[in-house]
Amino acid sequence: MSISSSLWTTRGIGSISLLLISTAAVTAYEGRDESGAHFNLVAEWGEYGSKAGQFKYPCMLAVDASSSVYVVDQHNHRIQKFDAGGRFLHSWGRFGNGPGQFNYPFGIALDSSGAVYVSDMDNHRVQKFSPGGEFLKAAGGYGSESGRFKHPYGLAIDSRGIVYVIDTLNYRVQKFDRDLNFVGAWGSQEEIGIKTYMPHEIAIARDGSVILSDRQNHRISIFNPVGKLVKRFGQYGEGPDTLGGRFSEPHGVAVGPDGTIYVCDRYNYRVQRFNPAGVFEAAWSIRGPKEDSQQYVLGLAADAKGNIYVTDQYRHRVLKYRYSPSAPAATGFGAPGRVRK
Amino acid sequence: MRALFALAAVTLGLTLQAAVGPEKAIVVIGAHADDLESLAGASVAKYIARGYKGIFAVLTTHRAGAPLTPGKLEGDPLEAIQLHSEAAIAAARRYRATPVFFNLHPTRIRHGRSFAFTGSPWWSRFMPPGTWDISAAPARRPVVNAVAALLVEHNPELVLTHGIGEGDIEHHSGADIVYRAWTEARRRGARLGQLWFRSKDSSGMLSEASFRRFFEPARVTDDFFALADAREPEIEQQDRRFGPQWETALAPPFTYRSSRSQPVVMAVGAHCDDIEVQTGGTLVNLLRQGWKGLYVVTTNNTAGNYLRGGEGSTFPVDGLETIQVRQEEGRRAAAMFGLEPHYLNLHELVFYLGRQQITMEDEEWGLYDPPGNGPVTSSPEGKGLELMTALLEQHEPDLVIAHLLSDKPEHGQSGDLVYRAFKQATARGARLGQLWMPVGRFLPYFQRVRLHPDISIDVTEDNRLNWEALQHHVSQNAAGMIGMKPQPGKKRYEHFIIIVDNTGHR
Repeated sequence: MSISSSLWTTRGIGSISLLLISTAAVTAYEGRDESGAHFNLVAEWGEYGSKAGQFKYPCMLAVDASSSVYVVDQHNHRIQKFDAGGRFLHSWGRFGNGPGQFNYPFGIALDSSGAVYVSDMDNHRVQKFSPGGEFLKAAGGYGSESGRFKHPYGLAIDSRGIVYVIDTLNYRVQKFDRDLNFVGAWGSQEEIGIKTYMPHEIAIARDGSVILSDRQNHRISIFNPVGKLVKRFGQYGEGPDTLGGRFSEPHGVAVGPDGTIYVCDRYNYRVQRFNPAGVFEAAWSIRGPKEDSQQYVLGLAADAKGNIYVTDQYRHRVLKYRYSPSAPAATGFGAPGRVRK
Repeated sequence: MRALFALAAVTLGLTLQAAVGPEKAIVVIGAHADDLESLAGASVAKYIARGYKGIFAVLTTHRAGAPLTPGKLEGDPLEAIQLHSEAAIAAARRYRATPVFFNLHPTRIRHGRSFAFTGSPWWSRFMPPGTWDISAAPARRPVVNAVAALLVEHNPELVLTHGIGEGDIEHHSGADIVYRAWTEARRRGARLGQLWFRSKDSSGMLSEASFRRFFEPARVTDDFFALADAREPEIEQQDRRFGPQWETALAPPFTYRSSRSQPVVMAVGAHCDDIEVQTGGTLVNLLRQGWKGLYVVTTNNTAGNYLRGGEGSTFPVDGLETIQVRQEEGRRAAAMFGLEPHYLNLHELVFYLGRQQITMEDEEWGLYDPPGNGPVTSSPEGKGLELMTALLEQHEPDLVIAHLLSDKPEHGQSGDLVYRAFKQATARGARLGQLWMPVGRFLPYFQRVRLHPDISIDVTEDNRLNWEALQHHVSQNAAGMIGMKPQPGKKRYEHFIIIVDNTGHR
């Protein structure tokens, strides 16, 4: 949906208000969900604990080409791997700072060969593993020099194998090659034109641009690969009547095979769906074990078949949804997710 | 004739009153029922035997965790409150005194086999009978007024209570309330005599020597100081907006003699910004003179970090993020002094899970298991005492500066921890110099009591760097520290009392 003009009002010096009229065509990124789409909960797994298949505050997750799901099990300091239905396959990692050990891991991403990259948040490093969890390499260490980190959070890998890492308390995004050699960095306010503070997650769009969930500013920011800001959408909104396209602390972000963008809208307890241009399409609430309970969605991933996986951080579980453009689910694991109107 | 009779009656009445005198009263105000007897039982017995009227006032509803009936386990807080009231009445009866209750909440109540603190979800659900948490009550005008009304009613010649600086926060708060009420009653025209504070408390953070220097009290018995005497002129009120007028109470210039070519100063704060807030100017001053500095933070800093969001919103963030943000801010601030912080990572009492505050009593505390080395106390259940002692033994500082009492529990606990570690390290043979504690912040008494610091340091020249360091604590709204902002031409001092002195200089 687009409109040919738009009005902004802004307060000038003193009590004078300025009215700016844009003559350029702009896109409306927000609105109400009128898609009629349904998001069917098709699987969920996990509970609090340290055994196989249990979680302690799961964070980000990733899905490989065969729809195996890798989950960062943060307070167990490990990675767990499941099949597409949530059956536990294996896990690796424990608390520590040695190779293959973790100190509160957070982000995870897979490259085209299936290698697994994990941001080891409080060890200030990124580790690379084989698809089976064998340690391959680590890079980083505490510091602000190139290639070092101050608490890395989300990470993502583009089609060329460039690894983008949110280096949170250095307020930048760092880039590495597949072997974790430093390639470049960007992120200062002077460079990108906006001030970010503790963004959490990053994803790669179909055209290779970098999508950042700008939590502090309640927006999604899209950069080209060298860090030039090309688009922002969203604004702050919180509560049951919040329009789609508005956010309260967006966290996880993922891109589907068709370029669709999904965003965890944490304090609206929902996931929002946008087209590749960032136009709002639909949203659905994440339901808790009890009716009307609200869940803290954090991590997000989409597989090649269009399924969406969400981590419910404080309920220690993973939810799997299937998008249905119009008709409600005839069968399936659970009832349709509630679409916000 | 009638007028003459009336005059005679009045004259007779006055004469009789002069012969007998108004009934003298002694008021004992304790935090708990069992404090009354242990606090002042013997003293009260003497005065009552002399004809004084006795008043036993109890501030809290009960003491959590202390069974009042020997051999009986305390379970239900309601039952504990009933037992507590009965104990207070019985104690008053033993001394032919009148019991009075103020029904303040203790800082915690029994919750199963654990405790629930005020403000925790369980506390809110249970809603025990009572009014305010005693530790917050000194700032509550109705509480102070109620205690003041008691004093106005009885005009006691003696008021006895706990000591400021006692290790038990409920005792300390009780003394605080009584001090304020005593001042208020005097303002209302009550005919008061002396206010006595208990001097004996082995767990207190304020040593007797410091207490005496600080408050200028007169010892009246083996157990009590007279903190205030209404027969003396009232001390001039201080400026309450920005604290006391320090310049009127400067200690002599500071000089320190050390056998080392480079003396070592260790500044210890509970949180990442506390060193700058309380002792930063002095730290800069000493570093400028060539001292070696150590910047030590005792807690893991989970208590609060409000990120500023778009459109002016702010929101708390999870415990892990709070630790990361605040410790990074601490590193940046310490770097302004050329220092690297030492983090002991002792647990605070709360952290945030999303936007929800979690206390030790909540189930989520155990689930989340926030990273840390045990509570920020000197209790053996944590590693704090050993970590702090080891740090002191390793660096053998000539000077340690730690928190005194405060309005925040972690500050007082941190100060207590350093004090005990200082003693322990010294006993083990470490060559430590002096332990100072800053006076001037978080202790309201200074606004009304003449200040006698042992040390006053002119930090006018040093405060700019300290203020710039403070600006790195973005998550704590550092820019709001208006009183800290360097103001051209305005003198600024930091004041301390010496808690321990191993140097023999004084």
